[in-house]
Amino acid sequence: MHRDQVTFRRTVDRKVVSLALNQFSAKDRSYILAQKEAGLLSATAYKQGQPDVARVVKRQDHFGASQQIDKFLAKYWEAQGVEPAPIIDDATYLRRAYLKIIGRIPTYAEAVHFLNDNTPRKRSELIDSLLDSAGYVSHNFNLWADILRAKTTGREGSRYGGIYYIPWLKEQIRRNVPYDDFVESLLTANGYPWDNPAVAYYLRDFGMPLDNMSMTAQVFLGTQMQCAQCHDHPTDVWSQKDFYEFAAYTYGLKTGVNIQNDDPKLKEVMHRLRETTKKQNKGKIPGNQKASPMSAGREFFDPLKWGVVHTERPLKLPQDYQYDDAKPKDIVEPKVLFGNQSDAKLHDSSERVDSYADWLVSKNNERFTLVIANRMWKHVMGKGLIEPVDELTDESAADDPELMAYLESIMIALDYDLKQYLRVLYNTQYFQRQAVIDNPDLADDYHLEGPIFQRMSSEQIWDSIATLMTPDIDQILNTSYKGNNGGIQYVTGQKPAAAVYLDEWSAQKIASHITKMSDVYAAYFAARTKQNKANQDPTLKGTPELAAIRNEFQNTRRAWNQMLNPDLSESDAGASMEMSMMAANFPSTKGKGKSNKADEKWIKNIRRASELQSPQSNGHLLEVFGQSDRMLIENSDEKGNVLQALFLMNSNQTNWLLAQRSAPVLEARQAQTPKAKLETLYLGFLARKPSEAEMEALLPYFNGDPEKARQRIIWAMLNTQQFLFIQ
Amino acid sequence: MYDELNKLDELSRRKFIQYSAKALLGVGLSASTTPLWASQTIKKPTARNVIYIYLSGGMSHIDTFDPKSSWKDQGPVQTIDTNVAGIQISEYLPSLARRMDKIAIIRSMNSTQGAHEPGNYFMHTSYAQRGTIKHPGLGAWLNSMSGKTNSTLPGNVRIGGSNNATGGAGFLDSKYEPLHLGSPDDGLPYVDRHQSVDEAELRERLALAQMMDLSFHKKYPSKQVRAYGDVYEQAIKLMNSKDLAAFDLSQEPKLTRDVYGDSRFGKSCLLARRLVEHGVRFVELTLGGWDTHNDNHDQVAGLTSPLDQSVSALLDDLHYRGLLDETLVVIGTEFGRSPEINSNAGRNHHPSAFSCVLAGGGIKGGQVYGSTDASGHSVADNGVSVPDFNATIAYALGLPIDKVVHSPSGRPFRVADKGRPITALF
Amino acid sequence: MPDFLIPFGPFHMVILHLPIGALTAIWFLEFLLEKNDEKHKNQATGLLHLLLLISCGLTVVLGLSYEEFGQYGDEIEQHRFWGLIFAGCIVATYLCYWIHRKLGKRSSKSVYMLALLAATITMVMTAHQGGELVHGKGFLSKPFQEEKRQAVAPAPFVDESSKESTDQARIVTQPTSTSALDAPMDDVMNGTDQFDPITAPIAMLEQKPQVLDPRIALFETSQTIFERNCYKCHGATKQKGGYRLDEQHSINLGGKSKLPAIVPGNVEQSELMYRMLLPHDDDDAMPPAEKDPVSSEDIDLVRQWIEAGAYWPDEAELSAAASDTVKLGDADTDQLIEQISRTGVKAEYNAWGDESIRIDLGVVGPGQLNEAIQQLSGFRNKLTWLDCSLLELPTNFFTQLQLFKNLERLHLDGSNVTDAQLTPLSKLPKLSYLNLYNTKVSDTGLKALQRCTSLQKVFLNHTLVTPAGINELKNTLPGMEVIHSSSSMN
Repeated sequence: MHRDQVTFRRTVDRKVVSLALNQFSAKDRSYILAQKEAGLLSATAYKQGQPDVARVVKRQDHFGASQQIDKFLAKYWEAQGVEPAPIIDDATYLRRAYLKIIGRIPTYAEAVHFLNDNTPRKRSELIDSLLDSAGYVSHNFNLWADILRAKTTGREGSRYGGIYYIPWLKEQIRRNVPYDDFVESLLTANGYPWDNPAVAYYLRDFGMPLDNMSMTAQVFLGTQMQCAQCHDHPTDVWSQKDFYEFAAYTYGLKTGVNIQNDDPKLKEVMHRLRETTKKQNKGKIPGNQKASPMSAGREFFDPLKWGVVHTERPLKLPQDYQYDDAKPKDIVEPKVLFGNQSDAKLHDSSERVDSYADWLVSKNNERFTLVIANRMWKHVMGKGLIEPVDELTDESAADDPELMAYLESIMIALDYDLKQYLRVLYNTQYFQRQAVIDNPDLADDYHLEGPIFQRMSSEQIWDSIATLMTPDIDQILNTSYKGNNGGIQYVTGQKPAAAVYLDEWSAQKIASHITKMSDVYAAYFAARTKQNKANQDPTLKGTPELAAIRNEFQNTRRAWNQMLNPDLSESDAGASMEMSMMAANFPSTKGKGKSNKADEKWIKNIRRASELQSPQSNGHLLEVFGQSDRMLIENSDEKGNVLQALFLMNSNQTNWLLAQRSAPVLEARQAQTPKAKLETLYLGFLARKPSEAEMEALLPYFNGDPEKARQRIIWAMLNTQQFLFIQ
Repeated sequence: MYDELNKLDELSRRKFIQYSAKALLGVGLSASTTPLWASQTIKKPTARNVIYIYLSGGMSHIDTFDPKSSWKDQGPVQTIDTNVAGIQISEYLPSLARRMDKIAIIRSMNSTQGAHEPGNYFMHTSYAQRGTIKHPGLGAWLNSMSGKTNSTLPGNVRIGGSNNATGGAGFLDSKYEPLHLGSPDDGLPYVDRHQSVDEAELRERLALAQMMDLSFHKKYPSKQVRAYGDVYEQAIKLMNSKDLAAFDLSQEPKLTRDVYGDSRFGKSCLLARRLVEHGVRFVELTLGGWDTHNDNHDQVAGLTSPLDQSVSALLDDLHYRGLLDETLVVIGTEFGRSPEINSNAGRNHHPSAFSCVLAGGGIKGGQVYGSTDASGHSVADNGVSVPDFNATIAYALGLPIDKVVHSPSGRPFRVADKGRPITALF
Repeated sequence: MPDFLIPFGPFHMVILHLPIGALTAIWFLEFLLEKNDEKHKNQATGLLHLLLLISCGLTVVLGLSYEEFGQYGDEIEQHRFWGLIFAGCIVATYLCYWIHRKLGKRSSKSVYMLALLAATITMVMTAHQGGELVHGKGFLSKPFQEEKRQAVAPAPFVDESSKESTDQARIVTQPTSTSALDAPMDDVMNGTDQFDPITAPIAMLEQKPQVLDPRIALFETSQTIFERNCYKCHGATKQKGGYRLDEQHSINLGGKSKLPAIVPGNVEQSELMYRMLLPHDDDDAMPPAEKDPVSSEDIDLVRQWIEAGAYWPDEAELSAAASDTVKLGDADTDQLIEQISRTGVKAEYNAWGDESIRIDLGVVGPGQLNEAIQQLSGFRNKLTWLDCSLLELPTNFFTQLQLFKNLERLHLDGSNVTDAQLTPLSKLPKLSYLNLYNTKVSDTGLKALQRCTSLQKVFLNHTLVTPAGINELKNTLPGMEVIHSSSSMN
């Protein structure tokens, strides 16, 4: 029943709010249903065209598991002789539930409906509806984008397939693909990102198979082996040999395709081009300084270099290998880290990879289960039972081993269905306890009394501000990313022309097509060299002929780019540039007028963090508040810095929120009495009603200019610390 | 605002006295009992400010400051004379060659870290990366130990690079976290109040916010929350600072800007000078892209041209303004690059020997410290470890190198770990 | 000791309180209830004596069995010794008691009383040593020493005359002793609010200048090194290999190895030295391979300490040492600095620790320049560095400059200084650095500078001076470096 979404369109500003039916009090619900029967109300109409989010399996008996967890904790507290934190009130719970499950604060409407609802099980009902909402995808994507260092920008975004990979990641979360299958599809991926976006996992560490392997060990096995790449691990048990034996499994997977050799058809094409080139240059092959059908071909087929293929190449020990158990340059046979499964006999690369993937994700691989069970606990409660989650050794022990073991058993019982697992955690009484400060300076003063008191992640802050601007923010999705590299356009869901031709045309046809193209290329090439010379030449500085040269270069380049991306019209390219620009740029401080324009743009383009470029560039709120730069695994940080304060105090975005247009403001304007206005603002921004004291202190402000009063109060709320922290 | 501001001055001043006490007592003692430490007695600190130019990715030492004309894999790059007899560097650095008399090159640097992240971390903190603690960078050490010079501007600024870069406040108080500017020419973002808001109104609003947070603060007395208190205090000071102009490059005459060059890096250098001039004590700028695994020589040539131009401009400018005497200019990088050229005409990571540069701030120019073997593969003499390098910087600033400082978790650390300064450079 | 007892050893800690209790109880009965009717009293005392005897026996037995794995140094010897005497006394007392009860003579009573007294005294001895074993030496007096440290008076004025005494006294402190390290460190130089022994030395004693015994200095240095590297495993909490390094009486005997760890004055014989010098990866090396190695400098300090006889001062000497130090600066200057700071000006002691002051007028708060300049005059000959860059200075300021006889470094860059105003500078005998960058100074000004014989560096870029003027200046003051684009830069 509570699959239904009810959609409201507010007369004042024609803003649309859509809510799950079960978010209404019983009374409202029956009324709405009646109205719906009578056809007086448009329900779910608005959600047209939104991809469906996989519903979480709602099994009663899972509550049993949640209670079991609480039992373990109770036992633990007793043993430790500590008192658990108190259960939080509805308002605090509301805010935490939204932030922790879908990564943003509740809208005014959502807040009102939850707080007015007086059915006893409304908390767990809220959990279910949030798990099923689009926000869940966005929030969990942020988690994995940080772990997997997924980028839509730079070469990782374009040639290494990020723009195909990121929508795919969201899709996995939306469809709630079981974790073990998900990991397996990453580890066994090969081919090109447009055919199989998962290969971006290997391409992310292009040409660095060993590093990629230590990443895998760290992310999925919580085992840090970087040290063992160069020498035996000083503090852990791993020897350099262990590492190499493990790396041997995937070493056959080569990132980078040799377009002269690896693909027979392509090989033929290049051969033909080579011949024509020879003909054109009286039997000689010109150097790279000269344009030719060959070089044109190389440029055109550039996208086909960036794939992952199986090869027979063996892994050898480094020439400076220093230990006695093997000689330098010895060939290493694959062997797993735990248990003694050895696959020395396997020689086919894909067999090796399959065997390795099976081993890694198998239910008997304790670390695999432990890591994800612990990681998800951290995702919900703020701190893993074992910290750090990705640096496990034989010594590492959980705060409460019993509980840890139980969590693992659940994870296995649920078959790595993360959504159900999360549902179990969210439904614990523990999740309803008041947040507890974990002081990093005091070694062991935290005894799981309650979830950890945290600052919002930068994504949570951004998404919350976005919510304040556009209540239906979850509905605005960015399904298509664009990247550009070496003139080639990479677009989500679209193959580059090179790939298309290779599939559809005969080698001979392609060759002749490129030969035709090569004149355009030659022109472009000439113009480029000419311009480079001109730029060096001081005498030309600022002269019209330099301008002319540059102009010519622009034109020839546009022509050539059209050859490279035949199916992309100009406007599209322009649009994509603009989009990435807007996502990336924040209004600079120079010149109000300019910045206001940028501001407008920015508001039109407002989306949740998961729907923007990843990562955001310098100066963006997301960056200022510590979004991961995607260089390292889990590299986001929650430290305060001056820019954050300046942003919250003076940014155009803050001022924009104070102004007429932000959702809570509009709600407030509907309210009659100052008291009601105040309550509305509090609900909208802090998801709670003002306390008596606050009422007393704030109401007088409305006696003066109510506009000003409202602006002050909103500004103040945005600049409170309680806005930034999750209680 | 202002009386608050003075309180802070007062504080940092008192800290400063104590620090000096510590400095001279801590070290003076050993000086009197052991000849070994005598070298380290803090005489007069020779530098007050640092401009730290970080070349991320790993600068190829043999293509820049430690060329090996006779080495087979030296590649196309030639070796040229400098304005100091007997010292030669790469032709990629012609203008710096003409300022060699101001520069000291350390050719015997060596690191224990061969990967970017750990290497970068080690270079910035003198400690190997650990999951359990974040170590402070020199900028944070400097500001926490001897206080700011300009009480309204931040004492520690980072231009370019990433917000999450290493070498921040670490376990020190978060107010020592560097202020991070994404790009040099946007100025300092979000410092202007909205036109409708005057200072009184702002104070009013802040008071309101504090009122709303009263019970919250009582309920959650966490360090992280308190940190935001400091952050706001600093932010307000910054907004009211009369030195905000320091961040605005447009106030520089065109001529100067041309000398520094139009590159992002050139602008960063210029901004750094402005900041130092206005009393910012530690400025770090990043010039990325040195990870030349492919086409090493083309790339290095491309990278050195802004480096050469802008750093030379910076040195001259500081020199003429009389700032070079008390401003230490540092060029650092996480490691060097292999003397052998790989299959992609590139050079790979090479921590066992590389070069760094110091200038100004009391450093005796026109000298080369340490050397590498014929191929630039390993250190031949006077090896300088990363901690030694940082200790040298700390020494120039008069920081108590041997002072053991305990992290809040009670673990002992020092400014440059066990590093010993290279006093020969002064 | 029979092995089956060993596990019960720890109960020593519990049982030992019984005899104490019993003995006290007996005293009560014997005195307070002097006059009460013998009958009940005798029964009570009798039982108590029995209890005393048994519990005491038990305590001794357990004590001996605990000794095995208690991991204590040799201080246990004494404890055992006294413990046994105590046991003896108890037996004696017991006998005397019964004898007295049978005879009931005055003489027998006094014997019994003596025995009881002896028992009590020995008990106190034993108990105290036991206490020291558990809670560390001098645990009783600890709280009071804290007091001692706190009590430090603010410093009186140091005049130049006491300079060398200062220098000597500077020999003194050194970050040492746990208390220094307990200081909260979220902010490194914290300690403004609360006492930090490193900075504690901000304490007088210029009057009775005394040089501290270098042996103590050495001791403290090596202590710091031990603390950094050894105590975790060889301190009060742990004694790996049965060796403890943080107490005088235990340092010079070895642990398991039985080799003397420290032989005062004889480095070769000292196992500790030997192990610290072993290659890091050697199995016997200390600290072990996984720990951070000790720097050679630090090792050498320890060597010097041992060579000098591994001197171990007692509490008194140490606390005396802690306070024998110099303060840098003085109250009046503090006062001045405080005042001038109110104007936004940055004034600070120079880091190299004489009383000289550097002042940055450049960062003065808006409209407060004149007041700042007023304050400035107070510093007189303390002022060595003065930064007036980018300021609109009033004319009288330059005449005022003559006050600062020790001024070495003067920034006037970007200020409104004029040629005429440079004349007074010749009255500054120590002025060596003068920055006139970006000012209206011209050759006339340079003429004035010709009389500043102390000058070594003058910055003249971006001024109205001509090469001619510069050359003239250079000729009169050949030792001086002029920084100007025409003259330098190749």
